[in-house]
Amino acid sequence: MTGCLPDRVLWDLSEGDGADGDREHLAGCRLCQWRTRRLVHDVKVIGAVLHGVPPPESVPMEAPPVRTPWAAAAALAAISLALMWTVRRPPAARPAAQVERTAMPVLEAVSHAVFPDAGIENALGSAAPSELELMAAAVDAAVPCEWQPGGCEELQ
Amino acid sequence: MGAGTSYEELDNAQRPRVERLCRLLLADAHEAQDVAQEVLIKLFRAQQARHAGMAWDPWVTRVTVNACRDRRRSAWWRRLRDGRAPLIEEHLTGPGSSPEDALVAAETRHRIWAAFRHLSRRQQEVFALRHVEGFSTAEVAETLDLSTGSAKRHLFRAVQRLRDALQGTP
Ligand SMILES: [Zn+2]
Repeated sequence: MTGCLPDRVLWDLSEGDGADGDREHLAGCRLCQWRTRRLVHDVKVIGAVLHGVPPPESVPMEAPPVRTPWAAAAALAAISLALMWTVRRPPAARPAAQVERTAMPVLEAVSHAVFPDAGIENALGSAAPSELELMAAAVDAAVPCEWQPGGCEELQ
Repeated sequence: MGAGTSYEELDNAQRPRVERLCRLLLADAHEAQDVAQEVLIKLFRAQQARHAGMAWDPWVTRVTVNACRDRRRSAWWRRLRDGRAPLIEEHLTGPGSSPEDALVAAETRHRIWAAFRHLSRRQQEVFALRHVEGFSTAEVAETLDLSTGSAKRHLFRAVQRLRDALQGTP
């Protein structure tokens, strides 16, 4: 199997264009099939968003949201306090179940601080790869240029 | 739609599409409504003049795109003259959210709209006609006076940038 196809070629194929050799590759490569499905799905989602009414302020959001660092700092402070509290208490007063109850909200806070946005997963929905597809991708070991450190040169 | 159609009928039939396209191509909701009104009046006059055999949809689209281009060219100096900040786009009449739209988080929708606003004029026009209005690539090329190859290049670049926005890639 040759290397996988760049997004530009997958795009052409999805539009009904492209070379025969590329079409053959697509027909036999589950990774490229999955990438094409995801590409088409993404474009549908984007088209649907732009078909709707613009949000109240459709201005560029250059700066990252401020809440993340604050949330992370708050989570760290919560961890420190929780650790101090658990260390200072005598062991007899801390049965395992109680430690678990104390630690879980803290871990949840950390989780929300570190992974604040699940929007993309929602957006991708059914386009996420199945285990079989990912295994097929791994077996193929054909990494598309978009996923390599150097990336693809922009095609004209 | 023939020469006997009333303005009201024409307005009901065409305004949603014309306004949606204007909203996409102009960053200002009030400008979009103004231009849509201009286009509908032009359309009504053309209809009264009995342009037999005219392919209405491509014609309306072309007139709308050109009207938006003219408005964009003149927008900068009017803003300067009036000292007016770009308007916030709200209170718009338009289609409701689609099921796909509803699934996308508000932050992602913001990113997509912001990325769309940062596309070149050509990329905006090509993407809007192909993936919002549902034209074929050949129809897009014809409407915008581009070669098919050029339309495809603009389209793919737009797709790349908008996908980056969807996926949250800087
Ligand atoms: Zn492949």
